[in-house]
Amino acid sequence: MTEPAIWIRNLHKSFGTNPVLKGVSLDIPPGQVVCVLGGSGSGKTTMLRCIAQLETAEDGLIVMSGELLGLRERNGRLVPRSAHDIARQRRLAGMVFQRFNLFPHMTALENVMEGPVRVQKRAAAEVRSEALELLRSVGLEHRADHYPAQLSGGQQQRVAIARALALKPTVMLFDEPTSALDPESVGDVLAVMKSVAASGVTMLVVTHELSFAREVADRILFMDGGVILEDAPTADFFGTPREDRTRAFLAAVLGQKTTA
Amino acid sequence: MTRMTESSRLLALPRGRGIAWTQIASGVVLLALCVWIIHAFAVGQIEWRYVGQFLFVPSILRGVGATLLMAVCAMALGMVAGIVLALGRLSTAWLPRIVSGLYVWLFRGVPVILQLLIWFNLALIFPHVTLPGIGSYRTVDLMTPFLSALFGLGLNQAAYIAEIFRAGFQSVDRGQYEAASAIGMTRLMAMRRIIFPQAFRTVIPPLGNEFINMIKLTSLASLIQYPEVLHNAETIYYANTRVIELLIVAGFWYLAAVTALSPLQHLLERRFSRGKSS
Repeated sequence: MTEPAIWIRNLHKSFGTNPVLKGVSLDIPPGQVVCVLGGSGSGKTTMLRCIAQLETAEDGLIVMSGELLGLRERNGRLVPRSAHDIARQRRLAGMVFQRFNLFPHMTALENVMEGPVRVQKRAAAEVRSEALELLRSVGLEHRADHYPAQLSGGQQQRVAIARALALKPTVMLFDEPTSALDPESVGDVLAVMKSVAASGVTMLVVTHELSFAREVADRILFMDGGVILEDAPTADFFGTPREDRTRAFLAAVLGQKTTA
Repeated sequence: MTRMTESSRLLALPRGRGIAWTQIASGVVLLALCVWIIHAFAVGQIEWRYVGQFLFVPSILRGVGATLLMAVCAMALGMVAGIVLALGRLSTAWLPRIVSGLYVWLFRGVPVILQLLIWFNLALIFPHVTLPGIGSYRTVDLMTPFLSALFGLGLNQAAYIAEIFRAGFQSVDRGQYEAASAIGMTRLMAMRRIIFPQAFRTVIPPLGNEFINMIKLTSLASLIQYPEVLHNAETIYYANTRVIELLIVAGFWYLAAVTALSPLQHLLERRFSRGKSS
């Protein structure tokens, strides 16, 4: 069997006294597209942020592309990695945020080039042509010299996806990438995500877009109360959900959609 | 019906200007005040030819140079120390937070003039200073007026600049740190490439203010024998008793320095406002 792109065992995380993840375990094979559904407070975003090492879990292990994240073995114990090493590991995954978080003092092109040029120390000329190609693939080559403030929300999110892809990650993490968008731009962003999925990158997508999940995902995770409650291939998940909570969630979300 | 025609008649009327009586009245009063003050200075005991005569004498020009040198050096020291203090204030560790907090409390709470005098008289507390590997010195020889003024003004300034930068760093969205981390930046690189340039936008106008204040504050260093422009003006009027004339000379140079600064600040603001929606 091939090594999983993401391997998680018994992940625990709390904020203060409030437990958010209560033992999450998960295997994602390379190239799989996984959507994570669940209500607010279910822990889905926190799980994603632990994988991106923007949060540190209290307990549990994450292995990505064969590397144990945040920890290393020394004299038979697991000790924290250096800040420098963690910074390097964060590049293994590309992260797309709900609120885009583009660098406002840089143009779209500069945003995309920043990681490869400054972090990977690659030659600017070579990176530039790659970055322009990436912007073209998200349909924004004509906006290369625009600053984020001059772009719509949907355009900013597409630049943010290009910025994440520029580091050639093996895994792409999306944290509710369309939640902060106006309805008209949602489609453009989802289309870009579909093409990323088709390129064979492993994807983990926290989302509320059920139609996107149904169409693009290979597999759906449903999280509730800090655990993965249901984990099934997409067709099974929507066709024959096992858990009562899943059915209630689907009914509530789908009901809302039809009345809207 | 008559009402309608009455209203329609108004459509044809041209628009005139209102008259701002309050503005005109206050303008007249202000103008009268100015004329009176200028008149007082013109006919008062001021020999204007002395002002012109001393405006460009070497001792005054050297003083202007010393004033600017001190302002730039003290501001530079204040910036470096202030940024370090601001980072300490925002640190997740408690020790740098407390140290920075204490520093700002102490240096903001004690008058600058008193701090200058303490630095100048440091020899009374520490008669000797030993620099490892270089040698031992008498503090009196080390704490020249220049160094005393530099430490006194610069370290005091640091406390204020720390507060300005703290606000600047806090004005940058948390998501910017996360986005920088996510593309693999170390904390230091994220600071330099992402956080600093954005914090600078909010920090430049108050920093400009602080620099203007610093130029004027250097005049305090005249008290500890630093030969800046006011000190040299005083030395001249002790000899020739042209007090007001030489104070006007010094005042002219402070005004000139501060005036020259505004376009510079404007330029910096433009440079760092890249990408700001307008």
